[in-house]
Amino acid sequence: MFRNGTPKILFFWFAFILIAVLLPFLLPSYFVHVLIMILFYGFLGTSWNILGGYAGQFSFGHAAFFGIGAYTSTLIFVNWGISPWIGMVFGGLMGMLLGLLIGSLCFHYGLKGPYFALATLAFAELLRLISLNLDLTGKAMGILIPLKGNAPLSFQHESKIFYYFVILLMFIGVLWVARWIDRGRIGDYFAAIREDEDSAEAIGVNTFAYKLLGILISGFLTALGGTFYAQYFLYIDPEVTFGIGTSIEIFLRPIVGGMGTVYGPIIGALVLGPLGEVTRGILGGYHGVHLMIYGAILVGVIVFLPKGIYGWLDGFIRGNKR
Amino acid sequence: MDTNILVQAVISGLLMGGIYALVAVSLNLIFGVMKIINFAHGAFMMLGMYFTYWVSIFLDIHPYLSLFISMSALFVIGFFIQYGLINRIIEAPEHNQLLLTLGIALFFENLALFLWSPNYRMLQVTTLAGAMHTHKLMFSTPRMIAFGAALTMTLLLYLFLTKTDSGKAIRAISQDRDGAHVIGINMKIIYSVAFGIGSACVAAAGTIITPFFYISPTVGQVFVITAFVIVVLGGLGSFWGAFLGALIVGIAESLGEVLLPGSLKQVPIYSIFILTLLLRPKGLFGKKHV
Amino acid sequence: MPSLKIENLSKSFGGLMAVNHVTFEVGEGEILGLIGPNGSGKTTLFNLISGFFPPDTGRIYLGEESLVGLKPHQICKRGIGRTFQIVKPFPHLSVMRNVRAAAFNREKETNRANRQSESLLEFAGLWSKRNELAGSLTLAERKQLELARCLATQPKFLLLDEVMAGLNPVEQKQMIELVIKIRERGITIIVIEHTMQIIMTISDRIIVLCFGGMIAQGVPGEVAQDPLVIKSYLGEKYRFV
Repeated sequence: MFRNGTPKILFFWFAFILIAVLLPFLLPSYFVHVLIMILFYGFLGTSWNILGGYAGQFSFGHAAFFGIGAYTSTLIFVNWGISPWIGMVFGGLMGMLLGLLIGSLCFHYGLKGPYFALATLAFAELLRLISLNLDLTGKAMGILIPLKGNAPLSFQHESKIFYYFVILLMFIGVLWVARWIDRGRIGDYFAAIREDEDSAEAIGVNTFAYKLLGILISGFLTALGGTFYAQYFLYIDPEVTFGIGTSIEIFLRPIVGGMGTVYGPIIGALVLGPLGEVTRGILGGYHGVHLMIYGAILVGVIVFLPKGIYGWLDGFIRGNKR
Repeated sequence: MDTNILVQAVISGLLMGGIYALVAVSLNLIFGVMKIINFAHGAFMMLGMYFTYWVSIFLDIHPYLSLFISMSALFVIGFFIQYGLINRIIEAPEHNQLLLTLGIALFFENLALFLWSPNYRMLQVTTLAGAMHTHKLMFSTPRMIAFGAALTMTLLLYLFLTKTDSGKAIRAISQDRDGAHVIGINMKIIYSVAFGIGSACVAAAGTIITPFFYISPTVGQVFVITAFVIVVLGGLGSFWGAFLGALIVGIAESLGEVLLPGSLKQVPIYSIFILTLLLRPKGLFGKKHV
Repeated sequence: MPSLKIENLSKSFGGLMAVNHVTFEVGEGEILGLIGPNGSGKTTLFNLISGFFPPDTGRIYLGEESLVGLKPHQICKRGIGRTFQIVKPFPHLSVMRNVRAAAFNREKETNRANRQSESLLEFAGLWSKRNELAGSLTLAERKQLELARCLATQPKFLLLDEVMAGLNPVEQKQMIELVIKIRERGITIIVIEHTMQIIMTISDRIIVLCFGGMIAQGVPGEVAQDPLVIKSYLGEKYRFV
């Protein structure tokens, strides 16, 4: 969307950073929460997008990585007192290992498209069922993260502003990773795989290896998001970590905003976040009602804006892509 | 382990398998014709159950009597969803179709949640209830009736597809989309009719289990995933594969319930699913290449 | 430069012999023509060489190294490139990106890959279209793109599968010129073509396949006189240029 080095962009970024830093101090707590959730889903969506949008391997079960990150850091903290910051890294590694397992199996057997999607869903469901029945993970009761008050070193604080800056940094980090991938060899190879796997092989792309790379990176990053969730809400259970609802919330933003683009996921998050809050306000009551609107939006986007909002805007503003 | 318990489990599994068969066979119809992976199938079953529930309560009739209403309602809903929405993206990549039907499922499930709350509901049925006992085994009457009804409908569906002109047209399209186009069958209408029929059948499955199964907005989710497993196991596009797969899965699930603790009963199902996808994606009898 | 040796290659699909004990060798800088009626196994042969299917029996040697069992991307890395009979560009990517993705086969660094791609686009005559989406190109342009993309992988051998099909005479002439320019760069080429005329023009040697088996091999003049060849092409009109 932007070219390198033009002064206009630097000014834009400076203003953006200034606003981003000041905002949480100026807004009431509820709005900070909304911003946190937008950045949170922007983070998760961008992580998902690396595998789903760039490499074209659509995952319906990213909750598997999310949950494993959440449980890993939480169990390490609750059982051994090790800071969730460190636990987060281990969670990420577990996410990577899980990616290795799922990826090697699925890609070795050449699962593609909806079959890959359903397989990832099955894996996530298996993890959910396992955590539902293990004493270690607290079964259906889940795990409560012990309150430590203002303890930034233990990834906890009483003020939301702390979490805001954590997720902001995480989001910027993942955005940087996404851009770096998109611009280089990996990005071209992912795109080639997405467009036509046979052709990609014919020009020297080791499609198995690169798809695996995609799921490793995506799994690692998504797991980090799981730890953030655990530390922000201070409670995790099998449904909220491994459930289908979580997988859907993860890929919904990139789909709506624009799969395969760097900024698609955050655009999706910016649209769906406030929309979800407003819906909850109007329709009130039961958990998940906002999904009704999300469902309608998903339908609308697929039918009318298949390239997502970003894709539609991009086509609207200029003739050709890069 | 008492053989009696195992035999009882197999019987229960078989009876439930009949229901799964109807769900799977109708899902297969939709997949065979339109190559659409219909995630909304479970949501339609749920809607069928709610229609039955409300009609039974308001008209004070036995749920079985509302069969025609729930089937017609879902036929109409299915027809127009295909006609108005899915037809528009028939040429789009497959995961888009999956997403579309998922969006529809999300919409309806949460609409139901909004309108009728997440509370489980059950219909209290006094006639044709109870159970029969022979040889230390129990046969629940509503489950047997459901099994019988499901088999009947499955058979009727099969006859429809093989003996009637419309049914043959639908099958013609699933064998060869371009060929059918050439001989002038109106594709859009056929797709919509097929989708409508598939939806009506799964609504029927919902109706006939209301005497013994709970009703809730998310009740369809379990059925749709089980149906996917069955259809993949039996072979996409294969009618009898789906039927056989349903009975197998029904029994496997029931045995799992008896042999495994807690909610682990679904673990064998998901494991079978993954193994099938990996090792034999064509399923047991699949004709279509994945 | 190593030669490409095919020994006794066979492949059948469901009982049907698609490639039947084919043996030949391609030398440095040659243009080898491969012709035969529809279904004679030409594309299958390419698929075997480029690693998309494993052969049932037989060997494929690049110099001393056996290629059998290698995956397509590994074969590409060893210097064999191929085009597809039905062109497969990356439709939603720009022409430039299509070629650059291939350039990354040898160039690890983005800037160098960019420069490689730019020079290839010029060579193939697609410079003006570099920012267009590949899916929006004409057939002739897409074939040029497929060629440019193949060249970006820096192959020593090129397998061209019916590059002329679907092109009008002017476009065909341009394509022939491009193929000759490629040979001048030192790349050995195996060309599958349907039309005798074109094959006769550009090939140094010709191999004729029929029902998967080789029925003739030699210089164009010889092959055209071969009674077996004439028999299998009975009913097909062909002319020499």
